[in-house]
This record gives sequence, structure tokens and C-alpha cells, in this order.
Amino acid sequence: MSMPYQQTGNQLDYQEVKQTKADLKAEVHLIGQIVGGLDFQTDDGLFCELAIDCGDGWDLLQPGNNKGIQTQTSYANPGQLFSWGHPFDLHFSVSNIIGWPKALLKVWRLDSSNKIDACSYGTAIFPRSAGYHQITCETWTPTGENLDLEIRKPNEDLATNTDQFSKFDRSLDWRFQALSFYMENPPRLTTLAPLTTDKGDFARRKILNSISNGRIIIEVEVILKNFKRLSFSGQ
Amino acid sequence: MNSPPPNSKSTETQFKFGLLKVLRSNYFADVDRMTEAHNQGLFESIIDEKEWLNCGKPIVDKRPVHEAKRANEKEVQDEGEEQRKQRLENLNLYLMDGVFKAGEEMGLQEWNKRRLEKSLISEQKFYYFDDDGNLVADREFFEEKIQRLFLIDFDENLALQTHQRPASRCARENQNKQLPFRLDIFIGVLQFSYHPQFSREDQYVADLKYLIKKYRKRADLALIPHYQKTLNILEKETTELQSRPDDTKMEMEMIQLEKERLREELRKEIETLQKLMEQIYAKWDTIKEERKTVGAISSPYKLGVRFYNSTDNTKEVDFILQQIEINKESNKDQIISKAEEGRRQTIKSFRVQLEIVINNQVVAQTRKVNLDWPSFEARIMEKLQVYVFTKPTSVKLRIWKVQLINKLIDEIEIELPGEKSYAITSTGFVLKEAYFAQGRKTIRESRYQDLISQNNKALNYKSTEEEFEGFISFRTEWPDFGPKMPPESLDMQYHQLETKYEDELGDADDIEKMIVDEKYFDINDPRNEELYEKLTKKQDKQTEVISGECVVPYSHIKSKRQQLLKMKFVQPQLSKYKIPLLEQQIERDGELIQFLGEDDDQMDYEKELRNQNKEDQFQILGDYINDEATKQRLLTIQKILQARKIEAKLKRAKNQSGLISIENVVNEFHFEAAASLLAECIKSIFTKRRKLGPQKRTNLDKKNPTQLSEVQISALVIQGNNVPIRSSDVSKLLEVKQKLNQYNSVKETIELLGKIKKVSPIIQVTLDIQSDNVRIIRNIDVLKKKQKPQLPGQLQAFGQQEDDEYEADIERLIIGKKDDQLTSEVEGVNPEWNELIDFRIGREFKQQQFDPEDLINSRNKITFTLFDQIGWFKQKGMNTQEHTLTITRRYIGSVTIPLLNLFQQEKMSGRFRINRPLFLLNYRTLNVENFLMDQRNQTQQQNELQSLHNNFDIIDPHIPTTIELTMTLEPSIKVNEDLSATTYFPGAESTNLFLYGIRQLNRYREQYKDRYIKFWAENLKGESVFLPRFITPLKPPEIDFTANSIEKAARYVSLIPFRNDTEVFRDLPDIYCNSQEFIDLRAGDFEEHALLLCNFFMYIDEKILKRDDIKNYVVMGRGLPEGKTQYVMRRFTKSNFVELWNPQTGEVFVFQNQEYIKTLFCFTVSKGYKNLNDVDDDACPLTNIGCIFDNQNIYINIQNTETPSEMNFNIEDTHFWEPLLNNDQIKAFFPKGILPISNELVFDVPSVERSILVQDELDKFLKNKIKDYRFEDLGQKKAHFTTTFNNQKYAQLTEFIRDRVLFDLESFKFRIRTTGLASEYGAQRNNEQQQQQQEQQNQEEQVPLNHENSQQWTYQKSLDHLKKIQEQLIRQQEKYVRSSKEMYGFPLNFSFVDYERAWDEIKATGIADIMSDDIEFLCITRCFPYPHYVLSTWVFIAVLYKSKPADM
Repeated sequence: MSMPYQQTGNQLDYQEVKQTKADLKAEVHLIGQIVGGLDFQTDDGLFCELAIDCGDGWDLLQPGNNKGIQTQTSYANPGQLFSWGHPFDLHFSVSNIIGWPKALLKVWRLDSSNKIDACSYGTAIFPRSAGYHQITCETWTPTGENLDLEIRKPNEDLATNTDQFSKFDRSLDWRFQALSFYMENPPRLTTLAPLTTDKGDFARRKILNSISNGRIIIEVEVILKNFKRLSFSGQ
Repeated sequence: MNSPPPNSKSTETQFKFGLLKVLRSNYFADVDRMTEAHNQGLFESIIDEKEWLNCGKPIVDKRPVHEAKRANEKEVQDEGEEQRKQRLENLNLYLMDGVFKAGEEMGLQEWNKRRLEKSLISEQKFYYFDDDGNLVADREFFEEKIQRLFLIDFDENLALQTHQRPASRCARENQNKQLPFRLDIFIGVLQFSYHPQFSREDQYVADLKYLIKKYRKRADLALIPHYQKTLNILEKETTELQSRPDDTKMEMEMIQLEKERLREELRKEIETLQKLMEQIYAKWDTIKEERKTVGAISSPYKLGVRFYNSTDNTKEVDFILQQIEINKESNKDQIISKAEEGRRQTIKSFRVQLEIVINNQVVAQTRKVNLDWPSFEARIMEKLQVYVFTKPTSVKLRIWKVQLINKLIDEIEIELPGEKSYAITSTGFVLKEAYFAQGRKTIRESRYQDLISQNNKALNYKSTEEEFEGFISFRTEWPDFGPKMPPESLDMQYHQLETKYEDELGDADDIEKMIVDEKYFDINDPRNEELYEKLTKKQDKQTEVISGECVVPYSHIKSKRQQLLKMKFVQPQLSKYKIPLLEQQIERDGELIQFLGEDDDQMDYEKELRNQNKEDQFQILGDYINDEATKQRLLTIQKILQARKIEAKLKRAKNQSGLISIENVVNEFHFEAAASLLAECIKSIFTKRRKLGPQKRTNLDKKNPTQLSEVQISALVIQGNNVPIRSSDVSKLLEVKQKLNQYNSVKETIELLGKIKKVSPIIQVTLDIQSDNVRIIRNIDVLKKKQKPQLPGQLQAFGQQEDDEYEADIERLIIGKKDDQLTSEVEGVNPEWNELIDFRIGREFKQQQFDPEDLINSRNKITFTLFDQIGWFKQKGMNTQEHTLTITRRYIGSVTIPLLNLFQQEKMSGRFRINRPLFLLNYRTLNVENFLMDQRNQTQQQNELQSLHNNFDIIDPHIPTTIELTMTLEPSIKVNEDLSATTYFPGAESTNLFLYGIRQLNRYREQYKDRYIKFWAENLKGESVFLPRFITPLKPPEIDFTANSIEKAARYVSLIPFRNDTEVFRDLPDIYCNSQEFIDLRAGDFEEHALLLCNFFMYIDEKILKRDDIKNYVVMGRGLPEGKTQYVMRRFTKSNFVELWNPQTGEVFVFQNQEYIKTLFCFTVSKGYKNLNDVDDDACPLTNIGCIFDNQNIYINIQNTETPSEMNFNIEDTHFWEPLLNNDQIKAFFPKGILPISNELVFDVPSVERSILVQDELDKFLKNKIKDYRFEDLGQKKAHFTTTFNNQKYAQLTEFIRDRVLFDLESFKFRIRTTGLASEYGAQRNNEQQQQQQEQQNQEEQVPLNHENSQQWTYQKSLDHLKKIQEQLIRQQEKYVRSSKEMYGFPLNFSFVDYERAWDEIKATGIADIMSDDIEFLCITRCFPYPHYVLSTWVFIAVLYKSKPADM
């Protein structure tokens, strides 16, 4: 009985001879659509924005798409489904497994006075195994309970002096809440950084308070190239 | 403590065992003692009635210690190795009990054999790799990770199947798992030291065993002999001190004190031992009492006593357990009660099974074994082989009591070798016994302590039913060797990682602890800022490490496809193209490559440059250059080159076509508006235009190389000339000649002539291609065309077999990068082959096109090697009818032709000069070829005969061996040649010169298409320089230039290694280095060699020889193997002699012509010229001369002929040579005169040390290479030959060759010109004084020199010198080598470039191909250092073989 590694050594060599090493780069295709939103308790129209966050070793091969995907505004059907049906097609080359792509989702609301408000946020990690997947992403809406600098009044200019919001000024907070309740202006995040695993901002997430909101449904077809040959699996 | 403490009162007599009877451990170690006992079979003798101290009869070893030891050793030696191994193995496993017991020998191997046979019948296979060759990871992997051979059954663990693990971790865990390691686990005997079924006696015996073991251990550690020795020494000292006259009171006291202390220690030591012995004895007493009370014996042991003869003739005592056969005795007089019988039955039905657990996973089970009754042993005796990728974190044994539902007795850890330390030495086997007791171990230990302290108070430990204790003997072993043993464990890896962090960020850990303790950490608190920073740093560090480890293989490689995919969204033009899947396809697509960014390319290119430079000369030079100045110079050259290369690269990327064409690389032509616009207009009106007819198409056949799939090179080997003959045949020739004088009939002469076979030359054509992509393809048609070797007997049959094999194959055979083909063998000095040899070059797969880049590489070459084929018949055994034919080839010479030249010229034909070694042993040239058939007078014939005798065994360097070849290429490839001579790069010269030059060039080109004409060349910086500027008299290095200075200079230049510009400066056009740069780089092209040599000649002629009548020129033309070349011409203005020097080889060819002069009245009228050339100079490789230049002007050949032998070299005559510039133009273009660009040369001193170093290295390297080659590759016939270098055996011969022969040859080459001897004939004839002076000098040097005066004289002298060397060599050979051996060999000379090239030279000679084992090789190297790191290397390689009949 010959040793198992002896049997298979030649096969590997043969494959490498056939193709150059540059051909053996791992690649990932993520093809799918943002199907829609469920359980959002409003009568207004909603639209969704998707940004992609991935590690340094992930190279998106269409840099144009990196800025984000935005759906149309959709009004709910009787079943409270906001159907967006927005397709996306992403192609990555992978040199490092760290930072598997995540979808940073942001739902916006268009009210009757044509005002736009960020309604809720959520993150969804794209699946790591090949095949068809349906992802439901739970979203949340920040409430400005904790006084962190990240949370500001809506429509506030970003460049305003942050020193105004002192830690101990609870009155402002109350006012702010009342406003947001009556004016239907929920607080919003100034950056998407708390959603990602970026070093500093992610840590501050623990100060955020939030209420759960609806769900977003995403369908993805994952295609992995060369993963097996490079001897690691996405499973 | 109730026991009486050991005090001073208790004397030695208190104990039953006297002081001297205590075991003192100076006999053997414990194990030795047992082995010895086993070997001698001492325990055969059974106890007698008379007992010593109521023990078994003492067995006395009467021999003194040393003898006994010796005897043992002898017996052990007499054993066979296998027996010994078996014995030790068995012994080891048996001895684990700690107490020796004689029993039947049950080998492990028998068990294994049986089990193997069983398992082979029901064989199961496991697969650990999937179809792609990857390790089966994840779910399946952990079940099958541990492989067992057939010995073990396998339990499926369903629980693990659902276990999923993240990919990254899997990748990490499996990255080291490529090679399984074997772990052998032997399991020996399981012995119970407590069992619920133990009777009281059994319990006592177990205690006794334990006590004996402990006693043994203590005895081995006892310091009694040591104390005694020291006491003896002290006593000696006291006696010495007493004898001394001095006052030694103090010292005496000191010693006395020390003595007392020692004695006390000794007494203590003995007491403890004696106590232990008494314990044992007391135990034995209780056993005996027990036996008496019960009236039966239930354990098969008796206490035995052994006496050893000690060195001081006292006796040592040792206790042994002896075995008795219970059953026999019990039959005699014992009646067994029913309860006892039942007990025995239950014990015998007690079954034990072991499980092996590796990494908490059950891996194997042993068979179920019943207990043996009186001994309470279960002999498991199994060997398990486990295959593991990493060292398991834990290996455990589970002991099961086999019942209806099995019951776990205990789980014990097993120690693996290399567990405690990581070193190669720790991979030996571990042989141990593991103790299992379910927590009873401490009880046992305490009981033992009690036994010692409380004298004779037996503890009756009452146990519950289900308690067991005992030992298992096991042995673990890693049977493999190597630096990776023992394998690393996964735990270790992580552990190491962790420790790394700790080292770097020790503080952060503390902080972390602090935070954890406080459980609150406010980030916003400014006091915590530092801590926060440190923590974030730590996190960053960790992520860095992790991200580095998670990198996917090949991810560092930049994929062009992905770059293009990215760019597709930026550049709209790209969207039209389809981006192919494979990288190779993109690389072939020139259009796509254009799109790729320049920046990235440049980065890659710089890397490439760096790599390339490593191979370059610079690096090799850099190792040993000591002089700072030369280093600096080299650096500047390097910098300039790098800058230029990057420029060139950029330009290439910009350019449209993907080909490397030199035109693409070069600056674009910018027309500088020197002339006014109006003048240009007028010019354009009046310049000739093309006629209106259709333009003539030329080179229809030339194909764009990108559309090719194959190229065929065919070489027609036509004829050879002056092939050296075997000197052994010459004597036969003479015989025939004499006979011919007697009989004159035609028949007889023909018969006689048939007997002679002077030489049977054969030519091997080797095509060597360096590219990875291009292969040589051989067609079957070609194979069929190839003639079968016309040889009788078995070889022919062999040939037929070969053909059959080829036909069975598919269309084409891929042969490889290298291919050899042979011509047929033809006899004679001037053989005619007339054979066509084809090579097909193409890609590996037939439909693919192939890149021209792959072929345009100056390292690709065709080699024509001339061999003499010798064969002889040998009777095969006793049968007189059968013969075997052995054939060997002997090297005569070779020509190599770079493929690039063929591509440039499409067709090459002519006589090629073959490079021969200076002498070939047993070969010689024939001076007079056709003398047999010649009708000459007798005296002449006798003279010739005389000359034959005289020139015995010499290869005349003056007679060239040549072969006629034509080579064609089909289809011819369009290679962008050298950049056209009309382009120029401004900077160094005035543009007017260039403009004038271009005009002239175009004019000459129309007339003389084939001639090589050039006016300027590029220097390193990329500026065009007028050619005459390169020439100035330059002083050659400081060698002794008093005599033969010309030859010496030529030799020096020829030694500078040759390297094609395309090799050294890739991507750049042909560069003319100036002489200093050339020397510094130590490599150059034709032109560099020629320019340097010309500069040397000018200096020598002006300063040393002081001759005004000699002028030196550089000749531009075409040579036969090399294509466009440069030669150096020395012209004797008075006598119309011309010497053409080949700067690469240092060879001279002489041409002269005489003017026919008729005098008419007072006028002399020339009627033309007649060439008076030497016949042998016809073989001059230079065939076509285009132009000539010196330091003032360029002269263009406007004669009708181009071949030098037909030309007139009267350069002043403008009918033959047209100067480029007239005096006015020189003044106009060069107002300061034509200033030379090179100054005085700087040479470094030759270093002898380095030459010796290289010499030794090369010697080793070559020998190893020859050995390897002969063992592995020889002729692809899978024949392995061992090679012997008997340099030591023939030390004197090698010394002689190294010190004398090679030295003489070097001096010969250095001083004597071997060709072109006709030079200066007559010119110097009158100068007799000079001649005499030189002769005197030569006599001092002991080397025959000076051939410049008369042709006959020099010729003879040089020959004599060679002959002398050779004769001396042969004499030495006869002296030191046996007469039955013959030598065949030759010296090779080349300048040292690197080791591999030296090996190539030797490999090409085919001397290593001799297929026979009974030959000895001689390989002697010597290096001669020359200034500026030039090394002339000589390798004398020879074969010594048993003399065989030479005729065939």
C-alpha cells in the first residue's frame, strides 16, 4: 500500500503546469438582488441603500460600483412587503480571507412632504459557501438616548461645532426626542462606520441605543472560483 | 515513629545481612544484572532444601566480575543481529514487571503476523485526499485523520459528522499536514498488583514485588562504593602525611574529620539498604507463614538469593523472585478447596480489553485477553501503527473489564517520545510501565512509607470489590528519522504565537488583566488614554499577524486578467475586448497588454532587472573585486544601464506591436532643422522619386513569426577536411606503403588499403533551446529518413527495435529542449557525409502559435560535434560465434552556431573551422593526404615517410579541420535586425556629420547590399559616436611584453569572455562599450574585443616594436559562424602583407598579394595583383569585408570581391578603398581633430589566491558533475555507472600534468601563434640581429619561440614544442600507469565565466558518455590568472582503460 500523499502529488503538479499561478487566484462572484423589506411599520415609501464593506485583501473588480447601490422607492402592498427587486452583481478577487464582504444596509423613508429620512440600519454578511442563499437582515433604528457625538439632530450640518453637545446636557436630548416624535424625524447616523468593523468607530457602537425595525430580504447566488484548488473552503 | 531510630548504638550485627553483603551496585546496573541472569540461564536450577536464611538456595556466581562481564559480552557478540533484537525486545517487555521472571518467550512478531494475514483477507482502504489532491478537510478529515494499518478496526464517530468549523481555521490547521508520521505503540503485559480476587498471599507477593523493586532502585543509587573509594584515598593520604617530616597536624585533623563524616554517611547508607532487605525478608516470612496456615501455594514465586563476587573478594547479596510451578506441587500433596477452585475460575475468566484514545477519540481496540491465573497477567502483546500529521496532544489507554456491559477500570496517559523536549535525539523509543490504580496510587505509596518506618507492621488494606491496580508495559516509538522528527503538535504552534505577543507587548497583557479585574474601563477618561492606546496597538498587532497568516496562496501574484477586468470599468475602449480566462492568452495578445498600466509594469521590470543582475557578471565580479575604483566604475555602468533599460521598457510598452524589435526601443528620429526650410523645399523637388511602376516586392517568403506554429531547421552536412587520424593506424599505413613498393598489382593494393581504417568520423548535431515554451518536435518521417547504423550483429537488431517503437507512437513525439542527431559513419580523412538533418521547433501542442521571443535568444544554439567512432568485437562467453559489439565515440572537435545568426541570415553555408583541443592523445593529423596514389619520385616519398615518422602523434595546429555545411531555415523568420545604420542619436557628434553619413550610407547600400558598413555606433549612454574615435593606442596590461608582444596581446584579449550584447543588455540596441568599460564588465561582443585588440596593437607597434610600416585597422565584415563580426587587421605597408586577427580566438590569417610589374622603357606598369596565400589560410572564417576603419577615417570596400583572399589591401589606393571623409571634411566636422574617447586603461593586478580558489572549486564541481551525469542521465538509457577519479592513485601523473603539461600548454598558447605563419616572411628576413637577440631570450625562457622570421623554421619549432610536451606526458604515463592501460584524453582551454559553462564545455566532448564501468577518469584543472580578473582555465580530462584490440 503506497502512501496517500505519494499518489496525489503528481496530480497537483500537472494542474500547475497547465495554468500559470496568476490563474489560480481565488475569486468570488456575488450575484443577487435586494428582494424587499418586511415589517416596516409605516405607510410611507421606503427605499434601500446597500454599501459593501470588505477587507483589504478583497479586490472589487468593478470599482465603479463601490459607492453603493440604491433601490427605487416602493410603497407597501397589503402584506407590508416593500418590494425592491434590485439586482446587484459583484466580482471580487480574494487574496486574504479576512474581511469577508458585508452588506451595509440603510433604509430611507420618503414621506408625504417629500422629505427623506434614514429609517433603519442593518448589516448582513454574505454567505461563504457556494450556491443560492436567502438572507434576512434584521434592521434597527437608533434612538438618541445616549449622548454620543455620533448621533445628531436630523438635518443638522455636519460641520457644526461638536462641543455644544456636552455630555451632561440631558435637556437637549429630551427636546430632541420630543421633536423627533412629533416631527417624525428619527435620529440618524452620520457615518456608516458603526456598522462596519472599522477600528475606532465600531467600538463606539456600544453607546448606541436602538429599536428594532423591519427586515430586509436579500437573495444571493455565490460562486467561488479556485477556492478548492487553493485548498481552503468557504464552508 | 515507633521504630527504633538508627542510632550509633545499633551495630552491624543487629542485621541479618552483613555490611559487605549488601548490594553495592558496583557490579552492574539493574538491567544489566537481569540480562546477565537471563543469558546465563541461572534460574534453571531450582531451590534446594538447604536454604540460606530460609530463602531459596543462593546462586553463586563464582567468577570474578571482569571475567563474568567479558564472558557475557562474548556470548552477546556471537548472536545474530536479529536474534539479539528479538531477545532485547522480548526482554524489555518482560522486564517491565521490575522483577525478572523466567517464562516462555512469546514473540510479538508471531502475533502480528497472524493478525496481518487476517486483515489482508478483509482489506479495507481509506482515502485521505479527494480527487483534486487536496486533503479531505472539515467533516471527513477528523474521522480519517488518524490512519491505522490493517491491524486496527475503526469506530465511526457520528457525533463529529455534524461538527462544522470555519474555513479559515481549517486552512490553518491543515497547512502543515502534508506528510504523515508513523507512531508505533507496542503494548506488552498488563499485570495486576491488586485485584479483588487476590488472596492474602497474592497480596503479600504483590507487596513483595513492590518492595524488591524499590530496593533495587535504592541499591542502584547507593553511594557505598563511592564512599569506600574516597575513604581509601583519604587513608592513603594519611599514610603519606605521616611519612612526611613537616608538621602536618592540621591537615591530619582535617582528614580525620572528613573520614569520620564519610564513615557516618556510609553507615547510614548501608543501614537503609539493610533495612530494606530486612523488610523484604520479613515480607517473605509472612508469605511463608501464610502458606503454612492455608496449606497451599497460590502464587508461583519464591524468594531467591544471589551472591556476587565483588572486586574486593567479598560477597554481595541480591534478592530475586524465583518461579515455581504451582500445579505440579499442588498435585503432589495439596488438596484444593472448592472455594479456591472457584476463585481460580473467576480469575481465569476475567477478561481485559484496552482502547487507545488519541486526541480524545477512540482509535483502536486490542483483542480481549483473559487473565492468567497464578501470575495475574494479561498478555496483550500487540503492536499498533498510527499515522499522524501532527503530534497528538494526548494518547491514552483505557482499560476495560469485559463484561456484558464493559466496565472502565482506568484511563492512563501514555508518554510519547519527544514530548518533553523538541530535539532529534528525543525521538528514541520510550519504554515504560504505566501505573493504573484509580486513585490508589497514593495509598500504595503511603503504605510503602509505613512499611519502611513501622517495622514489620503489615497493613491489611481492605478494599472494595471493584478496585484494581497494576501496570501496563508499553513502548512508543517514532520509527522514521529526519529533522522533522518528532512532529510538532498543533498546540505548540499556537503556543509559540502567543508567546510572541507576550514578548513584544508584555505591558498590554497586564493592563488587560487590570481591566478585567476592575471590570470597568472608561475610554473617555483622559487618564486612561495611554492604556487605551496600548490596547489598540495590541489589537492592531494581532490583526496584522492574523491577516498575514490568512493570505491565500498565490495572492501576491498580480493577475493581468484581474487588472484588465478592473480597467474595463474605467476605460471604455476595453469593453470591446473579451478578456480571456487564462493568463497565457492575455500575454500573447499584444493589444490587451497595451492597456495594462505602465507603472505596474515598471515595478515588475525593476524586479526583473534585479533578478537578472544576479545572474549577470556584476554579481560574480562583486564577490572578489577589492579595488574601490573598479567597483565605482562598475556601479556607474550599472546605473546608466538600469536607467536606459527602464527607458527602453517604457518605449516598448508605448509601441504598438508587442514584438521586441529594436526599432521600437530606440529614440524616434527627430529631424533637426539644420538646413533652412527653403533649401528643403528645393531639395524635395529635385530628389529622385520612385518610378510609377508597381513597387517590387521583396522577401515574399518571410513570415511574421506570430503566425507560425513550427519552424524547421535543416542542416546539410556535406564534407569534412583534414580530420585527425588514429596514430595507431599510421604504422600500418607505413607497412602498406612498403608493401606497395614491392607488389604493384591493383587488386593487392586495394586489399591492402582495405585493411586500414584511419579514422571513422561521425558528426553529432545538437540543438539546444533554452526557452520553456518552445520544444523540439521530431517527426516520424524524419526518423525513417535517418539511416540505420550499418553495423553487423546485434546492434542492427537493436536499431530495428527502436524503429518499431517509434512507429507505434502517435504522430509526433515531443523530444524536449535538446535534441541530438547523428550522421552516419564515414571513413577517411576527408569524409563525405552528404546528409540532411532536420529539426522542428514548435510549441508543445501543435495548434498553438509560438512566440518569436522564445527563439530569439542568443543562448539557443546548434552544435556540430565531430567524433571518431570506434568499435570492437568481443567474444561472448565460450561461444565463438557470438560477439558483442561495443562502440565508443571520441571527441575530435566541435563548432557551435547561435540560432540567432541563422535567423538573421536565413541561410548559412561554407567551410566551418572546427575547434580542436591542442592535442588529442593517440590522434594526429596527416600532413600529406594523397601520398599513396601520388606519382612522385622516391626521394620525395621517402621524405614524406620521414615526416610521418617525425611528426608522430601530433595534431598540427596549422592544419585546420573543417566541415562544409549548409543550414537553412524554413519558413524564414522576419527578425528585426540591428537598428539600421542610418539612424543616429545626437549628442556626441555634429549633426552635419550624421547627415553626410546617411547620404553616403544610402549610396553604398544600393551598390553593395551584402556588405557590412557602419559609420557610428552607440556608446553606453545612448549617443552615436563616430567609429574612429574608439581607436587609440592603449597600453596593454603589465605582462612581460619584451618578446612576442603581439601574440600575447591577442591571447589576452581572446581570454576575455565573450557575451552577446543581447544577453548582457537586453532590450537595448548593439552597444559599443569603450575599452575600459569592456574590461570592467569582463564581457563583450565582437566589436569590443576587436577594438581593444586594435588599440593594443597600435600601442605595441608604436611604442614597443617601434615600427612605422605597420598600420592597424578594425575590419567590419561577416564571418561564418558568427555573422556580423569585427576583426583586426595588421597591415605591412611596404610588403602588402596583411594579418587578420580573430579577436575571440586569437588566431591569425595571412593574406598577401604581389603586384605584377612590367617595365616598359623607364616606366613601370602594373598589370594587376596576384594573391600569394597560404593554402591553410583559406579556412579563414571571415568571408566578407565591408569596411575598415582606423583612428582617422573609415574606408569602404568598393572592390568587386568581398572575400579577403581575393582582395587587395592597398588601402591608399582609392580604386579599391574609398575613404569616407576627405581632409576638408575632417576639419569641418571635427574642428579639434578626432579625439579618442578612451584614456589610459586601468588594470587590476591578477590575484593568484583567487585563481587557486576557483581552480579547487572547479575541480570539485566538475568531478561531481561527471559522477552525477554518469550515474543519472547517461544517454537516457537508465544506465547507472559509477565513476572513479583516481587522481590520488596517479598522484605523480596528475601533478606532472598540472604543473608541467598545463603550464607548458598555457605558455605555448600565450606566446606562439599557431596559424598564419606566413606573416612577415621576407619583411624581417634581413633583420638578423634582432633575430639573434630574440633567440637568446628564448633560450633563457626555455620555450622555443620566434617563428616570425622564416616559415619553415617557426612551423617546425612550434611543432617541436608541442611534441615535446606530448612525449613527456606519454613518458610519464608509461612510468606511473600500468602498461595494460591506455589513456585517451585531451586538454581543454577556455576562459572562466562560471562553473556551469565549464561543465557544458566538457559535457559537449562526450567523454563522460563512455559506457563502461571499468574505466578510470582523470580530471585535472588549472587556472592561470591574468590582469583584471581574467582567468584562463585548462581542464585536462582523460580516460584510462584496459587496452583492447584497436582494429575493427
